[in-house]
Amino acid sequence: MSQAARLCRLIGEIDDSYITAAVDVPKPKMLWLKITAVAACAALVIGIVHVSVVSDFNTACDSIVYPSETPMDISGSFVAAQFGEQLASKTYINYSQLVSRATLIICADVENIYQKETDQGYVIYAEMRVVETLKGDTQSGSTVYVQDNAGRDKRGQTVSLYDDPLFEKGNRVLLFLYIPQGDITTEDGQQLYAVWGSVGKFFYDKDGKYHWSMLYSDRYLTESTISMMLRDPKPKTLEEMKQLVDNAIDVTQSPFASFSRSPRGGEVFYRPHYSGFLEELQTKHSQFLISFYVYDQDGVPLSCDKTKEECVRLASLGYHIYQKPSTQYQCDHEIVGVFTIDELNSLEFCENYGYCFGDIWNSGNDFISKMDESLRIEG
Amino acid sequence: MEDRDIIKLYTARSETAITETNIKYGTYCRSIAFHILGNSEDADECVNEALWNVWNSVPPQIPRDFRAYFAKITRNISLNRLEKQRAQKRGGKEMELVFEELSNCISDQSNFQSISDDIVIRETLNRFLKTLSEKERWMFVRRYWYADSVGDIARKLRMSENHVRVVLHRVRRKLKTVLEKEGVVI
Repeated sequence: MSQAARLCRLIGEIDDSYITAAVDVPKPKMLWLKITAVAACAALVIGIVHVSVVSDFNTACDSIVYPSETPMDISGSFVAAQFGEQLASKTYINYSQLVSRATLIICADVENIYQKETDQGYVIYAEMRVVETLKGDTQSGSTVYVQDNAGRDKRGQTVSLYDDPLFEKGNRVLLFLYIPQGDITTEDGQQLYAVWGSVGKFFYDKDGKYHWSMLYSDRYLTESTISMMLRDPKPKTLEEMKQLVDNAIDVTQSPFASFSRSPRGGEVFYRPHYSGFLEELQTKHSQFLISFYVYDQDGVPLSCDKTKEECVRLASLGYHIYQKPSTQYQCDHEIVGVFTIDELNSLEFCENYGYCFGDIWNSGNDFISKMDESLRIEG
Repeated sequence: MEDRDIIKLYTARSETAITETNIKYGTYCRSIAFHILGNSEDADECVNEALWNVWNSVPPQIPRDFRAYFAKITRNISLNRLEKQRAQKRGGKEMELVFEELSNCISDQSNFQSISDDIVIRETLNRFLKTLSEKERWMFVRRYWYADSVGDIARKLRMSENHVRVVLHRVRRKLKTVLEKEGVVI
């Protein structure tokens, strides 16, 4: 073994604390202020702000009616990250996908934030004043309630599934929202929305543009977020955002619009683009990231539990299957797998179920692109 | 699930422990392996092997920091695999750079008779890390423990790559001085 390799191995044996400390990016430290009076004032101000923030976050929101079971599924962050960096880093979500899946797209000001700690982590509920609606039917000036799977721990540290920033009181944001599972409403019956993942979250900044939350974060993108990259994540003005929404608003709402019905027990559907692509690649040994849905005998989508069971069955057969049951990355009940062509051809379907192979998250128009060789991983 | 609960599963010999470990730290360790090997399939295999090692070693071992424990095992397995790959002229390009940079920390040691003990070197490294600023230490660990690329580090710290290179160069020079001063032979 070379000396450098040995040194590298020995560096591997450093104290655990150094390894753990390097997981998060160090926060920039405040500069020392030379003038004591200024420092004292600053300390006072910081103290007040801190108390104010902490008190905000420790206030439970009484007006929110919680469902008996939390709708969050934290495993989503894990699931989305399972594809492997090489593949996932070449996997993008584009604006048309964001727009078509959002029930509501708004530009809004964060007025209040409430936090709740659940068994599965922190959840914050933000009260937002709508400034402008880009999609949906909310009025300017109305209030929208938004939940986010994040919060602050007792030390005031941000705890966020995807390392995107938390909403702060006073932020102006542009959000792609959807209605989460669990039918949560406020006490007065107002709909509660969730951000379409950290992907659908933008923060307004002094430059007059909306910055994608992932790149706006003080923390760095972890592996769990790599698979949720946004195509063209550059900051955009509101006008540019509107343009993107207008351009994408006509995109088909349903992932199965090309079919007159969903597959029933024993049927396997492929989207036409995908089917053609498969034929073209019959002889090549490649792996693909592909999503699919499972239906029962009558063509009704399986419940989350049943879908999960099917995932487990397929995984036990050796397939690389991942399910994302709720909020992030994919539609409800969608399964994603990394398959070779051979595996797909010989996939052991359950005869009681129908399967529909859908989008492949890629650049371009949702489907796997024939031109995008980079998506392939050679076996 | 909390680490202590996962460890309880291991001590109870419940196979759920492996699943829970994978859920909680699989991605993290896969990333470590991937940085070293530059190949996701190899990374997956290393993590699986590491999970198996953890299964076999806990108990009797009860790690104080479970994440670091799992990560260290993954890193070692990945380095073992890299060594084999290098022998076959394969392997992650990033690690070649890491090795090259680390070789700059090692002075000419041809005059020394015997190499230093692992424990001595490890203690020296820990003492050295303690002397660094938080940011320097973070950069050093990310570069030489996690095998992050300079570009990744720069992006995470919102610095220029050049700045990161300069800081890492200074840190390596410091390390070289410390190793020489303490008579450590690699």
